[in-house]
Amino acid sequence: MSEITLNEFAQKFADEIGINIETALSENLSDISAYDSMGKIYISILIEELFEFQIEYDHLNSADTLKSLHEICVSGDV
Amino acid sequence: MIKKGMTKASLRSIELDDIQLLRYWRNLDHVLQSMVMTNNIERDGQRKWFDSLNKNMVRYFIFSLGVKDIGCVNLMKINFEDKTFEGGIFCGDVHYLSHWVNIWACIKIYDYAFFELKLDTSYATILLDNKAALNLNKSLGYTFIESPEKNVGRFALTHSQYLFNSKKIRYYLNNFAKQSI
Repeated sequence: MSEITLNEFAQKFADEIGINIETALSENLSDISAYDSMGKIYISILIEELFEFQIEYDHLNSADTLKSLHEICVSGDV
Repeated sequence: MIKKGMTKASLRSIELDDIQLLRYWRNLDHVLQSMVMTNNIERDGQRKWFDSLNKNMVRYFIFSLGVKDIGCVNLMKINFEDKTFEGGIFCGDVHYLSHWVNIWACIKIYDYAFFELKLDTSYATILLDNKAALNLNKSLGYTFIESPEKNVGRFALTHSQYLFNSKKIRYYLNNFAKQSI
């Protein structure tokens, strides 16, 4: 199990795509304009760096919120 | 619905049979909103446009995922003397707006321009409120040059800037999306 908390992940997620952490934590991922094609590429690579696995696009895209994305990453069940 | 799983992306030059699909995409609201030119294109006008294309100056391609056509990428204003071109993309299928296949298509066409056509510099004209295009162009390495009119920006990208900036994208496309580029 990864020890990276939701808040730590949220801060790195926000930094990576240039948004603030409040937006990352409060909005649906589909409503975050910076989380577009390029944003998803950068976040996929960030997840690999943090959680040491390569997330598939379908799994990345299935997460509605940052919390659910974090849960996918922590479980590593992908 | 988005097709799940690792499907192979592909690119093909547009043919006569494709032009009404292009026209359909080009007239969709989500595409028009990202265009500098927002005129509605009629059926007859599209045929005239296709017949008048100068293949030395423009190249249009449709990109697909498996058998599903997703959108269009193009090279315009190709100038072999100055070694310059303009690149463009639109995603026709709204379900794929934030999919990696859009980035894959950009990399394919920029590789083609820089490596095969041996061009040196790309220019882009973008609406300054088109965040997706600005984000993509920044990631590719484009830098701002000027604002020729309100809400419009001109950007430039050199071959070396492109090579440096596209490394991370190539890593993703090769290792995550499992696509050849």
